[in-house]
Amino acid sequence: MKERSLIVFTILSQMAVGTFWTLGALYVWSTRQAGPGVAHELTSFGWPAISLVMVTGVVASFFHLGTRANAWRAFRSLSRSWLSREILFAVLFAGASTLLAVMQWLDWGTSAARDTIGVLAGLIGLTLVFTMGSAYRLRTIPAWNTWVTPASFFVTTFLLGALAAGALLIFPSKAPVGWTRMSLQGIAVWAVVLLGIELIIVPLWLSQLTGSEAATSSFVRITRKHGAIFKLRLALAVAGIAAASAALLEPCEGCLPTQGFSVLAALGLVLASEVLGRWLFYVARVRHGV
Amino acid sequence: MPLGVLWRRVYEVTGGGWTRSGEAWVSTVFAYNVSLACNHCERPICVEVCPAQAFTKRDDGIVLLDTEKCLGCKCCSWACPYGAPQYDEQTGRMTKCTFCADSIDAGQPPACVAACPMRALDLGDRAELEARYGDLHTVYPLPKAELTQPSLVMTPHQDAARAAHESARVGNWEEIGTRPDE
Repeated sequence: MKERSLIVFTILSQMAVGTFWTLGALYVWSTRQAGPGVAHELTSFGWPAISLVMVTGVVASFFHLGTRANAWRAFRSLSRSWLSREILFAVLFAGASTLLAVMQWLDWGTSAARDTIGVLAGLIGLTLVFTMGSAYRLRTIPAWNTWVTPASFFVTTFLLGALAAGALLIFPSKAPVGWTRMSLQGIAVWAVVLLGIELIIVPLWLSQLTGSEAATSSFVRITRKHGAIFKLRLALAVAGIAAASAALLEPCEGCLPTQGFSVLAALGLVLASEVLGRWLFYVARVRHGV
Repeated sequence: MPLGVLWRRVYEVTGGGWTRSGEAWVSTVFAYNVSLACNHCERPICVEVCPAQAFTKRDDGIVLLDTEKCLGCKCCSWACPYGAPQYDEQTGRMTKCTFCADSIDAGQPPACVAACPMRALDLGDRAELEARYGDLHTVYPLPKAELTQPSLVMTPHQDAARAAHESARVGNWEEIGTRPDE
């Protein structure tokens, strides 16, 4: 598999965008419900982590290039190349999320300025995932040229993002335990819903792989040649549902560590499932023609 | 030319088999060749996907690659249904048939057209070629012409029409070097 660096880039950047949105939603919700102090304590660990993950993803993408010295030329075809747009938005999101992390960490700028940058960064992140999906929708590759490509990218984004945000909440902070517990429960519900959507999307994708030699070849590669990996990927997703569901158990005073462990386990299982799923996505790259 | 990079490849398509008719075995075996390089498409997907604008389509239709601008991201080779852009491991950049643009500019034919001993290859204006050879733009194993609208017309082998329906296959992938699914 020559696309290891692309697997790292796409998974990490989607996870970064999803974490950004989850923490953003938590920040808005907890600010309204409990005030900015609790909101800050709940989310403060997250912003630098998002920046670190995104920058790591962008750096990983360089290893896919044969001539890294020409990487700067990747922005030259914004008017027609989705790949060019994807790279632009990846760099913009890395920059915006890093700027926000620095501002939050050092308490720079006004609250309004940080909110504005946060909203902008969030929109850039969503655009990044959209451009990523569009870049892979090559009309000559039937397994990729489907609505499933962007849809599954968005599901991965919010799924990994939610669970990664949940994992960040477990870090010791001054946030009240009750708020952390409620946040983890909300994240677990969201993750279970998204995993359910994913388990619907995957068979829908497979059902589309008919009607041409290339599509059939993709189907055979996923379900037979690499059938064991495909089954493992699905099993890990189901195990992820079980682990996330465990975080929904009746909340009690002393159960935060258990709840945190459930979310961490779900993150590990789902991350492994998504990596295998992305690997299979690249394996399914069979184009029409010769 | 870098080792392993073939700007023009000849695909050997084989199919058919043997069927029993009474006491006799009847052969339905067929085989034909498809000689293929870059088709300098009307809708070149390599030009669309390249993030570095390394590909350009000249006014006369020739699609050229400026390797100096190439990042080596390989997106063009993933997308092209004719396998025209090929990766050069030594330079870390793509490479592609130029249609011998320098010869064309000097009023000479491309090297492949000049060299073909069977005179199976030709070049010219599209209308002129269609008048001479017909307007067929694809045979098995090539994709539907609508995908990229290749600047290619061909007189098909008599068995080409059977190929898509009789489990034909390309028999010389080892010689060609790459498959569309690799």
